[in-house]
Amino acid sequence: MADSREDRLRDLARRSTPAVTSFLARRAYPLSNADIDDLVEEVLVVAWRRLDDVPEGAEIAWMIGVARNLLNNARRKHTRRLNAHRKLAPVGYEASAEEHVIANEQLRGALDSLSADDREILLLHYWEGLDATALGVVLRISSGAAATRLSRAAARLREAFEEIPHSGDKDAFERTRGM
Amino acid sequence: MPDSPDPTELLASAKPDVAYEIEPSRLDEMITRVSSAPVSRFPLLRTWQMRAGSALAAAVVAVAAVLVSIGGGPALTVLTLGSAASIAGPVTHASITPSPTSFATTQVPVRAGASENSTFVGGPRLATSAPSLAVYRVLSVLDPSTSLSNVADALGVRHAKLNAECTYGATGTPMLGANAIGTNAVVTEAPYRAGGCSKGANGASGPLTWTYNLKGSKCPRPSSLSNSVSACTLAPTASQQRVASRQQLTLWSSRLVASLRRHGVVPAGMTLGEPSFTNGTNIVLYPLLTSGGQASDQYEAFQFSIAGSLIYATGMLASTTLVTTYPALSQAGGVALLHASGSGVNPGGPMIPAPGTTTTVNPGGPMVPAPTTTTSTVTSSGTTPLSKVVTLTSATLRYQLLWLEDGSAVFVPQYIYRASNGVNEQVLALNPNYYRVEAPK
Repeated sequence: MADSREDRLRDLARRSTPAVTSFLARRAYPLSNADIDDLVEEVLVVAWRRLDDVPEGAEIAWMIGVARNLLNNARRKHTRRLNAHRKLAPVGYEASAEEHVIANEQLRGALDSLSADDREILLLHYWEGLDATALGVVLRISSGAAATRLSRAAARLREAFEEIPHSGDKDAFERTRGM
Repeated sequence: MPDSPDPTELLASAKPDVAYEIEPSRLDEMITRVSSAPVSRFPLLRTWQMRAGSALAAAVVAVAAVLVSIGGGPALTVLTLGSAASIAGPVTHASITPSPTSFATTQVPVRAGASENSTFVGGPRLATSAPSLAVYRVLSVLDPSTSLSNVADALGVRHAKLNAECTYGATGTPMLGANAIGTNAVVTEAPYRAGGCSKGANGASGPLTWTYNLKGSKCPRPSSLSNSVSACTLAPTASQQRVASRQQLTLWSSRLVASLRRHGVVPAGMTLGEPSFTNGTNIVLYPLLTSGGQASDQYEAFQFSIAGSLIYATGMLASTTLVTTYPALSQAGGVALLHASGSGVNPGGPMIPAPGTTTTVNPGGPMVPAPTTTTSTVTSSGTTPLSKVVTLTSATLRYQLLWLEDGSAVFVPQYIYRASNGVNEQVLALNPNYYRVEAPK
């Protein structure tokens, strides 16, 4: 058990930073390492301020939740200003992580057709490995609600996947696996 | 490989590997830095873009998610002002540099910034009733490139080519901006993205201001989002030293104002006030007024050669819209803030002449503090410095541009006091229950 407030933050940071870093790198692709560092530090700023709110036993999920909120805030601002900057923005400014890393067009199309909430809970589960309890912490809902939401999102993904015509590419599965 | 793969399995398989890990020593540095900050009871909604844009952060006003409701009325957002924001103190400057030339030699500085021992007293003419005053949101332009073209066209920039540009603020922070380079002049929009110039950097603000420079001008362009004064101290050229008449200056500038209007550049929600002139520099200043008719600290400014050609100009692109009204201090009540803020000293602040001031002091010499008129002195002991009692004789309302945490900006009301020593003092007119000052980082 860490003693001082700073020790508690240090302990929390060391345990959660690898997961937070991975989450940010996967979800905000393409981010430079320096940008990831900046974001992680912002997560730590929030953690420092709200250290007493960190739930015991779900620290990593809580930190991922903070990172998620930071990303969402950044994206909201980005979206608001997107029209203003469109003509001057660098190419690739709007690209999302999924577009870059999912090679299977059928899967990508199915994901695109889902709501943002569905997409998010699926990625948190299948990419970050969060179970229903952790999902509940990140999304600020009960673990039961998280499990239900995850199950429904997976069902909708399957439906959407079936509705999208196969590309006929037999290697799609292997290619996706190789990303 | 299954014949019909489950998409959730495909998704799990597509999980990208992440090779990057933060070095332990780097992480330790972060933790030390973060944990050295005081824990605020009213946390700011800081974002990573803000930290990246440290130049902007120096002048930032952050909005805290704190609502205050008094007397059962509607809840108002409490403003949390950036640590660099001046609540009370000497009037410093208009946010837009009015001139690329040295006007310092012919103007009286508004404030010497050396009145640690002044005691301010409200005069009988100060109002004692506390009004409610509007706060306006300042909206950056939706289409920076079009607005840039419009400014260039309005001011006669020939064959202008638009460019996105990466500039660096005083702290070395990269900021994205834009310019239109013509054969005769350059129009620049203030850098508007403080999150860096690299792909994927997020924006903090759209451009709020523009600047015109005749090609070959050696004066610096605004280099920060705050567009704080970057008074150019180049000596006036021989042609600039020859003074045009006010009639000439009014005629020349009114043509440009009309042209800017035709091109839709005059900020929506604001109007231009009557022009004022700075002595000996061929500069015309049009104050921008809020929709309520109150002056702001922003100007459209033009400087001409003796032949009437435009040398330098600057103005606003942004539009304004009313946020809401906030409870305010009375004029008399605001005087107390000058004491609470450490006697209104603005250490390190620029010494800038008041626009429209006409008194000539030490022409050709260095900028000097205005002489302080002491109305009375109080000596308390042999070791205590003299305290000068300064009477604030009148107050006017003006709107000051301050920055928001999300990169946008607001006009907030302030009182400008005229003091018995001839020095102007300013205080934020909002009731202090509705704003806080961010602790220095």
